[in-house]
Amino acid sequence: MPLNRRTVNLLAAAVAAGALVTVSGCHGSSGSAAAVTPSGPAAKQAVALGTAAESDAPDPAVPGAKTGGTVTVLQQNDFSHLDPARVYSSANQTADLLLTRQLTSYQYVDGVTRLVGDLATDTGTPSDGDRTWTFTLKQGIKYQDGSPITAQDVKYGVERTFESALSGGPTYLQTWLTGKSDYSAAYPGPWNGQDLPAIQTPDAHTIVFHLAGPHADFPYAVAMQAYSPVPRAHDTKSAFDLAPFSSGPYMVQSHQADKSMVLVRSAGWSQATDPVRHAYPDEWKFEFGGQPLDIDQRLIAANGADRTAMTFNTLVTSDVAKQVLSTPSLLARTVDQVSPFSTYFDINNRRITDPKIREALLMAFPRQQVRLVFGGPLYGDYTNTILSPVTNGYQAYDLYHAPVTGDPVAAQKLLAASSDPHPTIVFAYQGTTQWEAAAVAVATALDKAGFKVVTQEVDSKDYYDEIGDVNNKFDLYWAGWGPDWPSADTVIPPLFDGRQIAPDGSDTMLFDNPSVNAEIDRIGAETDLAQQDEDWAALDKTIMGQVPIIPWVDLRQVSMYGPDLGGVHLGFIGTVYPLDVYVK
Amino acid sequence: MTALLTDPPPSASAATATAFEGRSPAALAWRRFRRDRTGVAAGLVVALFFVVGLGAPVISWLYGKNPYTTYGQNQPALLDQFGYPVGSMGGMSSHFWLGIEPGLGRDVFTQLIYGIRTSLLISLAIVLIITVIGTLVGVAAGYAGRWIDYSASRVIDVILCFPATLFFVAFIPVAQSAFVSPTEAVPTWMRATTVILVLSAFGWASTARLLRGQVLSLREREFVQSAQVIGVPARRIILRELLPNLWTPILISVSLAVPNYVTTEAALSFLGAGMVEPTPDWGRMIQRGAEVYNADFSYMLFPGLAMLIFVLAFNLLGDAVRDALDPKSSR
Repeated sequence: MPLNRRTVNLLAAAVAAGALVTVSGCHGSSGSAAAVTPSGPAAKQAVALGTAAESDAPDPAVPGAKTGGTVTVLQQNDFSHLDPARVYSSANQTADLLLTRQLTSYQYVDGVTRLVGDLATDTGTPSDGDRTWTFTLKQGIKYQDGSPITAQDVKYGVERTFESALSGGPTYLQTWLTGKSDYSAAYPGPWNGQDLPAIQTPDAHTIVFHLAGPHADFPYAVAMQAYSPVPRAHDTKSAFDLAPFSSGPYMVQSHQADKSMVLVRSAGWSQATDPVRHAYPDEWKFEFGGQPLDIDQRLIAANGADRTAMTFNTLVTSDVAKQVLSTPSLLARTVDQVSPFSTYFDINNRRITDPKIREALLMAFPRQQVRLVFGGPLYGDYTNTILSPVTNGYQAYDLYHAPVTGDPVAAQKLLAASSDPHPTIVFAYQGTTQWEAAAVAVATALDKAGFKVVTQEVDSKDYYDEIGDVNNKFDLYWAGWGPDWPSADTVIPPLFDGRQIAPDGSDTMLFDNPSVNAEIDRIGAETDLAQQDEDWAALDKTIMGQVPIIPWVDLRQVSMYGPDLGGVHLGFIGTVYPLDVYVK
Repeated sequence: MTALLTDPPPSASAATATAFEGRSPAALAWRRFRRDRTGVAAGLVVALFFVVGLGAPVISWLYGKNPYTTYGQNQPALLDQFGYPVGSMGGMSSHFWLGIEPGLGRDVFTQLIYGIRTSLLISLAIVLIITVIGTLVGVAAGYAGRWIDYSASRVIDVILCFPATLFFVAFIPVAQSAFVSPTEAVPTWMRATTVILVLSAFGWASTARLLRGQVLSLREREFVQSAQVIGVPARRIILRELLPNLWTPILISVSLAVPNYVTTEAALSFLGAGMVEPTPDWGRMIQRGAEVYNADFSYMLFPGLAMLIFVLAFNLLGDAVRDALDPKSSR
C-alpha cells in the first residue's frame, strides 16, 4: 500500500504553517516567560474498535451543548477539493466531516476516540482470513433530499475513486481490491458503465468487499472520507467537487470558489442514526482568503459574528502568540494539542552504511537547539520513537538516552569505534530563514562531535523532489509523516519497507533491511489487530536499533476560536474538530 | 597694447596682495568641501563605518564576543523557552550591547560590525571593477566613435534595460552550484566572488555611458583638436588631455555607487541570493528581523538603523563631493 508523496506534501504545508508558530517569551517589562507554557493535553491514546452497541446508539451529547446558531470558519484558502474521491489533505477531510458519512467513523467522547460503525451497524465482519469484509447498513440513513443511502451507493462511491480524472485521493482500497498498485489499468472506474466485481451488493443493506490479500485494519481504511457513498443519479462528475451531494448532516447551500461557502442542515440526516456526529449549529459560514495574522487578530478581537468564529487549521502566528498565551481569557479559548504529524531527520542509509556513525549522529544531534529556532515547546514534543503516540500499539521507549541538547563526547566515542572517526556529513535544508538558522545549530553541534559538516541549501519548492531522489547526495535531511489511520500499518511499511524505495517515494531515508522487510510482510498478514499493534511496536524498536532516522518532535496545533463557541478540540485528522462544536 | 605691456607683472601684485593666491583645483575643491558642514559630518560618519567595518576583528577581540558563537543556546538564561531573548530591547545588557539574536542567540553587535565589513568589502570590490571597466569602455567608445561606439552603445543599452535584480536572484545560485559539487560546501570567498562578478557584469554600463557622453563633448573641444592636429598619439590624448577632465564624474559616480551596492548586496541577501549563514550579513539580519518584529522589534531596529545611517551618510558625502568638485552643476 504505497502512500503517495501527496501526504508528505500535505505535511509540508502543515509544517510550513507550523513554522510560523514562534513565541516571544519576554518583550518589554512583563517578564512572565516562565508562566507562558503550552498547556493543552497531548492526544496520546490508542483508537480501539467500538462495539455494535456503540455503533448503534446516537453520539452521546456534549455536556452543555445547545442547538442553533451560525458558526463562521475563517480559512486561509478554500478547500482544494470537496469531492470525497479527491479528498486527502487534513483541511479537506475536515470539511467533508460535515458533508459525508462513511461505513465507519471515529467517535470522540470525553477525550476517548474509538472507531465505530457509521453507516454500517458495526465495524465490519471479516471472513476468509481477513480477505472478505461484510458490512450491513443501518435503517433510516438518508441523503440531503431524503432519499435512502444504499449499499450500491457505497459501492459506486468506491468505484469512483478508480477514475483517473478524480486524482489526489488515497489509494488503499483501490490497491487492496485489485491487488495492483496500478489499479486504474485493472478497473478504469464506473463512468463508462464498467462494474467492479470485487465489491458485491446482494441487497440494498449489505456490501461485501473481496480483497486480494488479508487486511485486518480494513475497518480503519473505510473510515477515510474518500470512500463515502455517492448516488449514481447525482454524480455530477467535475461539478461534484464544488458541491457534493451530501450524505452528512449539512449540505452546500452556496459555494463561491476561493471566497465563501455556506452549509445548511441536510433534510435527510438524523442524529438517531449517527454515532459520531453532532450537528448543533444551524449554519456554517466559511470565509476564505485571510492571512494567518488577520485570522488570529479577528479571533482575538471577536467582534460581532466573530464571537462564534473558529478555524480548522490556521495556527497562532508568532506575532500574537505571546499575547494569546499570556492572557488567561485568550488562553481559555485556544486549542493546544499534539497533532498526528511526526517529524524526524532522515539519515541517508545508502550513503552512511555504518550503524555506529548513524548512532553517533543521533547522539550528537542538537534537537533542543533546532526546536528553539522553530519556537520551542509550542512547535512540538520531543520523541524517541518512530511511531507517534496517536498510533495504536505505541510504546514509549528511549534506546539511546541521547540528551535533547546532543552529547558530543558520547558521539566522539562512538565515532572512534566506527569505520571513520571524522566522517563528512552533508546536511540539506529548505531555503527559509528559520531552516538557515537551524542549519547553523546543526553544523555547530555536529562539528563539536568531530563530524565535518557541509550545509546544503535546497530551494523550498524543490525540497521534496531533491530528498525524494533515490540517488541524492545528502546525508541528513528533515522529513515528516502523519498516519492515515491510527495503525502502524500506515507508518512503518511506507517508510521502512526497502522494496518500496522509489523516486519520490516515502522511504526517503533509503532504509532497506531484508529481515525488516520480511517482518513487515509477516505482521501485515496477521489477522489479530491487537497482535499486529504489539508486533508493529516491537518492530519500531528493532528498526530504531539500526538508527535509520533521528526522531525529533511530534508537532502541536495551537489555534484560537471565538468566546461563544463550546465543544472545540482537536480531532484525529489533526485539525480543529467541527462535529462537537456548538454555539453557547 | 603698450599699456598692457607696461602693466606690472601679475606675480608682483600676488606677492603683495594676499587675496590672490595660486591654488590647484584639488585645493579649491577641498576648501569648498570643508565649508560644507553636512558633507564633513557625513564624511566623518562614513569614515567611522570604514574603521568599524575593517577593524571588526579587533573590536570583536576587545569586546570579547564573536558573531558565530550561539551564546543564547549555550547559556540557558539568555533565551526563553520559545527562543526569544530574555530582557528588554532584545536582551540588551552590559554583556550584549545590542542584545542577542532570537533562536540562535548570537551577539547582535558583532553581527552588525562584521556585517558592515561584508557589505563594504563586497561593495568596494564591485565599485572598483565597474569603475575600471566603465571608464575603459566609455572613453574608448566616446573617443574612437564609429563602429566601436556603436557596438559598445548597443551593449550598454541591452545591459541597462535588463531586469538585473531578477537576473541576480535567478543566476547567482545557479552560478554557485555550477562550480561546486553538491557534497562540498560553497566556500565563503566563492560566494562573495560570485556576487561581486555578477553585480559587476551589470554595473559597469551606467559608468560607461556617463563617461562616453563626457568624452564625446570633450573630443570636440579645441585643446583636444589642437593636440590631434599636432599629431599627439591617441593614448597620450586620452591619458593627458581627457582623463584629467574625467576625474570629477568618476569620483562622483564612485561615491554614489558605494552605498548603492551596499543596499543591492543587502537586498540580494534578503532575497536569499547573497551571502549565506554563517557569514554575518545586514540583509539577512533585516530579513529575519522582519519575521520577528512584533515579538522582538530591536532585532529589526538595529540593522535597519545602521543601514539607513550608512546609506544616508554616504549619499550626503557623494553630494558634497560633487558640489566641491563641480560647483556649477545643479542638483
